[in-house]
Amino acid sequence: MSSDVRRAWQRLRELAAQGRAARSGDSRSLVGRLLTALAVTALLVYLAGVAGIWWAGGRLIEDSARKQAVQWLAELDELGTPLYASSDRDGAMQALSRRLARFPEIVHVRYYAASGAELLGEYVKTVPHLSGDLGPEERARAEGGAQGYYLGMLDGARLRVTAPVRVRTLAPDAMFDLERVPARQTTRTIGYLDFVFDAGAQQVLFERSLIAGSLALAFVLGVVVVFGRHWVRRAMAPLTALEEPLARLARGEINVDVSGGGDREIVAIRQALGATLAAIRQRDEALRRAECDPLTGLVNQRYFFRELALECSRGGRNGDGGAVLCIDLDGFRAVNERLGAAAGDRLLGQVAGLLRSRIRENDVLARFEGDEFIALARGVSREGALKVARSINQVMQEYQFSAGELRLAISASIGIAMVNGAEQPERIVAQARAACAQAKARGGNRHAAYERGTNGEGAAAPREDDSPAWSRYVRTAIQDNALRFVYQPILDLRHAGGEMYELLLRLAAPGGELVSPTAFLPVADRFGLIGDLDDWVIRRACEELAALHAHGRPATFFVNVSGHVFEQGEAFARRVAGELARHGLAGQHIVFEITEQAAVRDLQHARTAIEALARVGCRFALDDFGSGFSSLSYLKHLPVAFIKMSGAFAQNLETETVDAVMVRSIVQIARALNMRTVAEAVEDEQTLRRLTELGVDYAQGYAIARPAENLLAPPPMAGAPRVPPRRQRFPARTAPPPRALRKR
Amino acid sequence: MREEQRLSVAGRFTAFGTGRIFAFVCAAALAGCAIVGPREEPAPRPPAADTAILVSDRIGPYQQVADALRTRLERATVYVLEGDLKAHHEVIRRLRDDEGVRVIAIGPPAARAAAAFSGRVVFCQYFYPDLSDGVTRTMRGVRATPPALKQLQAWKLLDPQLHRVLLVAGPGAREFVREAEAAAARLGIALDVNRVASDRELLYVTKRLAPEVQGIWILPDYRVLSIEALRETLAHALRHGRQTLVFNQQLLEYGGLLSAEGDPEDIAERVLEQLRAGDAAPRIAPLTRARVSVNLRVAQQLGLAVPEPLRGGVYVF
Repeated sequence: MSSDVRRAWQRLRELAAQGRAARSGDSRSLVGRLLTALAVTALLVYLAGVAGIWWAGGRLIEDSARKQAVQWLAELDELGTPLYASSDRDGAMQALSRRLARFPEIVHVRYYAASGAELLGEYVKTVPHLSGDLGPEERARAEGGAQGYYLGMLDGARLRVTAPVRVRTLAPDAMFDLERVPARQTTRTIGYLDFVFDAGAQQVLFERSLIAGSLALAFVLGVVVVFGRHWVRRAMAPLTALEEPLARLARGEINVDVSGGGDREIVAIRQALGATLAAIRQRDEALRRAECDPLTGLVNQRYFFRELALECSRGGRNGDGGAVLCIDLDGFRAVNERLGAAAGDRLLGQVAGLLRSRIRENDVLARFEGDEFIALARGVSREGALKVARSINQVMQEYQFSAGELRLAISASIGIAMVNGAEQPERIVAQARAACAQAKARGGNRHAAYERGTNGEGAAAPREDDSPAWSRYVRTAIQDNALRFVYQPILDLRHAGGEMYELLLRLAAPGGELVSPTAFLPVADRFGLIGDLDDWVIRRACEELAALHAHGRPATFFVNVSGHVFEQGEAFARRVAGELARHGLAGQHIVFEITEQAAVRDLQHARTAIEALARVGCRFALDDFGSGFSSLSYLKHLPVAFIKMSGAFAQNLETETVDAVMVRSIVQIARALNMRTVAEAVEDEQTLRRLTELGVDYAQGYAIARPAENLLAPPPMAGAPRVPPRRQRFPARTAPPPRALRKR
Repeated sequence: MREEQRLSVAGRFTAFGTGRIFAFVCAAALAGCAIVGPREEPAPRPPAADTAILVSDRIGPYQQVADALRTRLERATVYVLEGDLKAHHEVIRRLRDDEGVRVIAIGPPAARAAAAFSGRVVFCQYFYPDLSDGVTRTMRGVRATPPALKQLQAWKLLDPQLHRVLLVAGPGAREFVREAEAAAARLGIALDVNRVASDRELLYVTKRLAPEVQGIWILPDYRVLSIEALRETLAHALRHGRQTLVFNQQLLEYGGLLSAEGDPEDIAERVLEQLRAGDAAPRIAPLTRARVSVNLRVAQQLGLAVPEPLRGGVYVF
């Protein structure tokens, strides 16, 4: 039985514990515990208090009854005196009974003579409790009491008291010396008093008082609990107020406010937390400064390379490497110089937001320097990386930077390099940069994937990942006049026009090899050398043109310039006019090639620059039209004389009917706008004929002639048929030669 | 009680054996002679004087009277019985056999011892003696209580407004009660007399006084008095603002207001008068003066202005 009870009790405790755990979750509330402790303490105090009150009250009732009985003994002893002194006992007893009737606690009184057998007087309130004579034992018990009486309990509330009635007399000679009385005094028992004291009525009253006291104590403790609960909550409020900031802190937030008041201990906790948070914030700020770009909020180069190294190691182990995308803004320098550094910074911040929206959460996006963003797309294939790049190109195409009332279209060139675990992170980034330069060299607003050996690597040139070295090399080349042109003939398909050449820029490496601009133009742009390059190109083109004119050959040069010239506006036009004047040339012999992206980036400035140069006779050609995300509507706002269609149209003309339709459409629009069309990268005679059929005005490419390094040799075009014979291609290149600042 | 003490002594004698009893009796006789002898004379001698002063015990009221007598008698011998007659039975026997000696018994034990003397015996310091206490008709005595009139006069002097008093007396004070009633009537004091038979009656009566009763006069009667009853009566009276006249100065310490005792000089003179009067002397001669003491603190509590004559401690009326 007891084991069953024990098991049931154990089960009950387990259920209670489960209930508590369910109520409180995994953690218990300190305030709850304090309130529980308060309530339990109050309950225990109440129980102890009530138990104490009842225990002490019981003792008190008993003691009080005994004391009252003893007091009544003295009273009845004195009141019974007439029974022993007067012959009128009945009268004395009646008087005594009348007096006792007022006291309910005296229920039965008997006065006996000294023999105990003779009853001298009796008082019975309602029911007699005493009967018979007072026997020898009872008399002896009364005489032998230590207090001079016998007191015993009849039942729970009634006491019986028996005591002798005594008289004392002194010795005759004691009257003169009362100090020696005890030895000279005689005591004599003349009778006995026997009575019953009923404390029941008082006990009932006392119990009522105890109940009232218990209720009062319960009320007081209830008030104490209520006020204690309020006090505990109030005292703990500053501590509980820390719960929410601490939860946020546990979630990783550190911008939480733990200040506030409270008691000294809580203030100490708050101060400690505040100091800890301040230290964490300082540490995070230091880390952020160390690994974060303060302008855009992106991670910096250091952080990126660490993540890329981890990705490389993972890729090496798992074979699922990602891709690095080098994203370079087209024309950022122009924005920076024209609208100021603040606008440039704002542009970078907005672009960072756009780019962040196009990469995944676990990818890494960093800003390295200037307008160069590097992204690490984890676990993507080449197709996935291209998809990401297309997405970025698309979002940048749709983006316009607002500066006051000015709206600038900003595009990006993207280079992609794959992470395969075999390459070092620096090498991968350099590859992505090289691919980016290639995309930028192809007119920007596009992407290109790195292909080993096709991104302008030169044996003597600086390595592709050594941008500072390239910048020094380019600057030295400009100063030492180490740049040179090669001349791409342009054939007039409709008329027998004069000589026309597109000037393609090359950098002579120390070994004598000519380096494509793909390798150094992005660096020149990034390091602020593009303006110098433009000036060198203008100056050198005028010199070459003047020399050619001097030999009686009034040729026309298509010169590639950067979008930077639009930002210079009138100043550039003045410099061009100066150069023309210095060499005695007419402006009509110079056609500036600008890319569609450079032109549409800031249409207003482009239009202004074109108009300024038109005043000195120069014309403009919109280069590489149709390669990117072009819009025919731009043609209405750009007063250019030529539209140079992208080489992709010519290459696919025979296989893609859409390209033919597009060429035809471009030709028709150009004619409607009084513009001439130029087809690039024409590599065979069939294409040449097809372009002629479609109404294209000019063509250039291997099908016409390879670029010449020296125009002072006999003119290759002299006496040439309208459809030139097939020419040999560049032996050292498998891809079309890169163009200076597009095609230079 | 005395019988019990005697049996107890006999038992001890039996226990000691006959030889030892003989030696003890001889030694006790010698020692007793040394003890009961006059204080001034260490060794007992045959009574050469014509007056023997038999003192019951060594207490002040007895010795003061004995001293007063000695100053008045040229040939008197003082015997102090120490409250134990049996221890001095030899002295008592020789005095009994000496017909020519006059005996003055001071205190009840001495009076009872002198009852069998053949010569003239005068006793004193004995409240309300009667024949049942061993006093013979041939003995003459002097009253132990001072005159009722003197006592009431002293009380009246202390409280001139005193007009009603309860006199509590035992069964042996009938004559004095009459004297007291006459004295009270003379002084204009209403005297309520209540005779009680026991100490508990004393308490019962004194706790149920009529409100107009100003004071309680407690007469000395060993039959109805106990020290507890006296203590409670005096305390109760004081708590209820009532004055009390008592017979012993020691009772002032229990809350009594004033005490009236016999003056030892007056007692001595009255004793000598009884001796000189011979058979013509009254059986009990009254005293003429009272020695009064006032409890000044009780008087102050009761709001009484104590007259200058009563402030000196003891005043003899």
